[in-house]
Amino acid sequence: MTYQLSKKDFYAEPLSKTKAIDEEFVKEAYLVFACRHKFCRDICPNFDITRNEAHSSYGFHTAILAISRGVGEFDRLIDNFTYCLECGACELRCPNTSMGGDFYRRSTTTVDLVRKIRRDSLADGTEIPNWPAVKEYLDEHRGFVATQAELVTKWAEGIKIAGDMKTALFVDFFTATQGTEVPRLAAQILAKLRVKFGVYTTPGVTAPELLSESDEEWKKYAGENVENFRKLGVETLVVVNPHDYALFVREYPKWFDMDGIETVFITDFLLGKMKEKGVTPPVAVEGRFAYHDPCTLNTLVVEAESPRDLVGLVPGAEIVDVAPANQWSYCCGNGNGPYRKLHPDIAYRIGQKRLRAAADLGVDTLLVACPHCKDQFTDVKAKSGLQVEPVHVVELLAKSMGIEWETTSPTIG
Amino acid sequence: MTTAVTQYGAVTDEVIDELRRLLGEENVLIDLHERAMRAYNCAPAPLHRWQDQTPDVVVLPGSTEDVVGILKLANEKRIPVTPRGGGSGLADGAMPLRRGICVDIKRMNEIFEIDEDNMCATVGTGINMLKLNEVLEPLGKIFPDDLAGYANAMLGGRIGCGGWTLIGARFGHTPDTVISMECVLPDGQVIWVGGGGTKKIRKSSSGYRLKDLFMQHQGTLCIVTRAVIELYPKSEVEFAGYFAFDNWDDAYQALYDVTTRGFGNLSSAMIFDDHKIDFLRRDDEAFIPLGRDVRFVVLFTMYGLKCEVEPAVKEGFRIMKKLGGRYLGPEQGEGDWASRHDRYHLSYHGRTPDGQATLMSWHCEDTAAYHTALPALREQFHEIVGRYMKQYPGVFDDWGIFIYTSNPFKGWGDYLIEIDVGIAELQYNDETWAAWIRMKREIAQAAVDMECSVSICHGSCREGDDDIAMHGEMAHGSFEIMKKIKRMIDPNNIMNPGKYCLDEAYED
Ligand SMILES: Cc1cc2nc3c(=O)[nH]c(=O)nc-3n(C[C@H](O)[C@H](O)[C@H](O)COP(=O)(O)OP(=O)(O)OC[C@H]3O[C@@H](n4cnc5c(N)ncnc54)[C@H](O)[C@@H]3O)c2cc1C
Repeated sequence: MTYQLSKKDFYAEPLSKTKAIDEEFVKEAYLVFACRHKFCRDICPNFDITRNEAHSSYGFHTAILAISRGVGEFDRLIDNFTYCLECGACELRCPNTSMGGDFYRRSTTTVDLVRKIRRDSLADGTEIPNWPAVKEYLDEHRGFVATQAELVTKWAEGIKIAGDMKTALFVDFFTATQGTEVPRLAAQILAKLRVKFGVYTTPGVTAPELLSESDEEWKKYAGENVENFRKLGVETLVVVNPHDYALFVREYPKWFDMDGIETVFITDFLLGKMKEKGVTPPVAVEGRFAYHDPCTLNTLVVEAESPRDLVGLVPGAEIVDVAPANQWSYCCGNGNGPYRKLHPDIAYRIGQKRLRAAADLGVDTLLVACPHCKDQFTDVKAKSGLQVEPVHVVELLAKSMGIEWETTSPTIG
Repeated sequence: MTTAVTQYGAVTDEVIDELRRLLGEENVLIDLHERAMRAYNCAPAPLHRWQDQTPDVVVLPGSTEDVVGILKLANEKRIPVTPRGGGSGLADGAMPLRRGICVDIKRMNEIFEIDEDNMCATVGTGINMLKLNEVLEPLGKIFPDDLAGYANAMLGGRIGCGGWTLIGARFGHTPDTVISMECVLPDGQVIWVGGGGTKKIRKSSSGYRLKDLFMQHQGTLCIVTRAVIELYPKSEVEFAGYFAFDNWDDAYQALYDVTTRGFGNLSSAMIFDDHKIDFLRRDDEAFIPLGRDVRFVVLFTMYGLKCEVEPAVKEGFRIMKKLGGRYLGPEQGEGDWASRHDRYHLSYHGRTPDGQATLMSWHCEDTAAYHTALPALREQFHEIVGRYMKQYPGVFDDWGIFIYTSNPFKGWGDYLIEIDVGIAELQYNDETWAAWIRMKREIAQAAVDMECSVSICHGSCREGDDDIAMHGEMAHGSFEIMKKIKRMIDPNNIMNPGKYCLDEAYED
């Protein structure tokens, strides 16, 4: 899929209480209102809990259309726009995307719309309940920028890394501080496979949360990244956090020339290298595992197979799960933005539902491919008492490759 | 739109406070855009006068008790109430013509019981068919309410409209697949209605068959809160065969022959007419490209056990081929049938007279016709829409006709003849809206003149249809009885007032 097609210039113009809505924006809202299928509604994990259709792509677009016709107020809008996980399931399922999107250049872009309304509302001085928690998180990341080079490599202590930047590992702040087991184990697997790579040390703050606050600031960091990739001669960027991966696939090409820089998600990269080198993991890890698709791979970029395929390489490991299509409405509850901080209670209920679905399959491990899913499920497990342990696919693979790893990941920062 | 004959109470702050007390703050929605998005359903709407049917408050009840509380309050204060399911209706049933309280039932989506022994389930009416079947399928069961708006509609709306399903020739339609229902009457009384007086018995001769009275009333009598529904074993085979014809007469004959042959597993048969095929060619991505020589398509589907379906399909092929039908292959069959819930329309498939893509909304007329009425109605419908297209270029567009089997459990007899019309809804003004209503009236009148029914499933309660249906189609005493029943059950006319010309029940 080519995501550049869905760049909508009219999103750049801020909405406010006093301004009329751009005609193209009205058409955009109308297209979803007039779709009539509302496939976007029942597949939305948030709607699944709140059952309020104002919290769906249909609701968001109809609210904009209503405002353009004088039956809505901009400053009351934001409440509903906090109820979006930014998972993209609604975009993918929308007939405007799947049946005419590319042709008419009108793929539905609910995630962009939601981020825009949040930004515009904040700029307009509207208070968003629980936003201080999001701000705190972003400020924390901003605070890391001065020491990022040190921080971003701290997880790699004791591991020999060749430092060849043609192939660079992109590790963001979240993973570098709270999900260190993934890059750490991935680096060790790559070392075993004799793959040369370096670690990119200045990622800046590119978390998707920032796009709900300031797209200009997000672009500043992203632009610096692209410049640095070129300076360092990066040809292949291996991304460990799928939240970042989705941004590299969907956002970066909208604003920057990424020609010649290939972004690859960690599980795709590992799978490719295993196959290229003809390596089969030597250690059997017997068990039946459920696997949870992260929205970032499953619905936002539609490249969801490699984590499953990696598990397929592990002797003794079997995946049991519900049909992937059903998983569109399954979500860990974290979301691909500030959702969990804005609606911790609903986030928990979404996660609990997903973990219970795994428990119902009779497994004790739910494999994930995203550090945020793991973080969220760890929380949900503790609160709910459900006996299903979230484990990253890379952890499973490492075990099967005979790599020793700490059961609790080191927290840095 | 008719004007109210009843004096209604206002939704005051006191009423809002009471609703909040009953349902909790988060389940009472008062923001303008929250209310505005519950003003319409899925038919092209008078966007130029949006405010007129925007409810004063939206409530999200979570249980029968919540609904009882809402209706008691509304009845006491004489506030209009409009139930809303998926809002996918195409006859404006969920449009709150007198504003008041919109009761959005989506939180009532619980599955209370799956009774595999007796092949039924008890569910809340806020459940959606797709979601329900996601739960049933692993058990090897389905609820066969397979409408084109499958992912959108809720069971409450299916009951409210008396829905029709694509595979009803084998499995029946909503009135057949709902066994019994829990209804909350306007005074807060809770009753169960079924074939007789019990919940799980399908066929009973006890008393009046009240299930049928509380089916397809469009929320004018009660709010249905729970239902016991039929479960079917999931079919081993779902076969869909598409056949090309180069003329109407052979396609029409093929439809007759396949539906009257006596197959036990025929689930649907249909015709895509030449206008429809042309329209679908605009849909580059969804529709498998068909050669220019394909003018009409006849489709039949067969669901059931492999051992039944395989020989039946062979016989179906023989019938089609005898009349010159050309099999379009498994890719067409599987692909198009799989997209039966998706294919309806995309706004960009609208075209101006000079062929430019333009934004239009989809309208669907759902006339119920018997077999011999089909050819004449097809011609008349295209003539009517064609005339309005000429008069209002770029405002209306003929999107072709589908004809489907509609007799429950059998393919023959009556059919849904659906003309789809593209409408430049965003540009509606008083003049084009009035033209649209005239066009609808002409289509409805053509149906009634041929002793057909204005609506097979959406309900004939839309502006432009309602008086022709009530004063024409239902003129032989039925409408008089409807008015009496309405007044008896809903003496204050709070339940979805303004629909089906039922204000006339209160005129004295
Ligand atoms: C793309 C598309 C395809 C469609 N295809 C079909 C089809 O194949 N077959 C078909 O039959 N219809 C079809 N429809 C029309 C529509 O889906 C049906 O009419 C459906 O039954 C409406 O259900 P809903 O939940 O959306 O109801 P709504 O539109 O919300 O309401 C419909 C009516 O039911 C009343 N109602 C809702 N809930 C209750 C309740 N709990 N108690 C009492 N009254 C209630 C409402 O007041 C209203 O009068 C289609 C619509 C679309 C948009």
